[in-house]
Amino acid sequence: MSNIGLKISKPGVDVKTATDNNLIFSSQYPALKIQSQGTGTQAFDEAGGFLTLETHALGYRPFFIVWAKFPDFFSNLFILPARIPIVDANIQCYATASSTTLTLAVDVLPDFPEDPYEVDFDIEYKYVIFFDPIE
Amino acid sequence: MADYGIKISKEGTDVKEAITDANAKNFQLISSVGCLVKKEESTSDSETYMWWGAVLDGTTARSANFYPQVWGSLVQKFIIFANRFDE
Repeated sequence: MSNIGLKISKPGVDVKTATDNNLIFSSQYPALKIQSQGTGTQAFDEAGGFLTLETHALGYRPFFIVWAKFPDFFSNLFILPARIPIVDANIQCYATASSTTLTLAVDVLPDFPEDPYEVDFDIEYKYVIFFDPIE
Repeated sequence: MADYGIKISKEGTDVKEAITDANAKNFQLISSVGCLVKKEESTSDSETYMWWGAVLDGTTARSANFYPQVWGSLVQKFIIFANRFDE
């Protein structure tokens, strides 16, 4: 590693000797740089499904975070992946990133698969895609 | 894009390169794009700011993916980022 760069330490810590956990910023490590972000709402039913949240042109799989709210069942926001318990089923919700898209995936897993099961619900999602690749 | 700011490139990348979707990953810091920045720690999540959370059960910290009722009175801890959902 080169011995040039920029470091900012926490107050009271000598920046010349500070360990990594006492640094507020170090150019040795990449910052998580935001490429895009968005919000939206989508209706789903017992069939689950997929929703393309964003198409990007990065050409690699980027790091991302997706949050989701299930207002028909709970009032709080979940960070994905999440398994949401509802009456007689669980909603399994996660996101996948490819070199071109960020996709929301939803599976509804009934407690009694042999019985007909119907449910309609909305998912309110929020997401952020970073320039920083996963691979 | 403004012609001022701070760019720090990774080794092997010329810092004078214009930033594009294709090469942004080759920079450690680009002041013209937002970065995920830790704002504070909290015992509750946020509808306004991006966050990451965990449930502390004494020996482990588990991802805060479940409704709080599932975890009873266990401590939930969140890192709240300065980045807003609506930006």
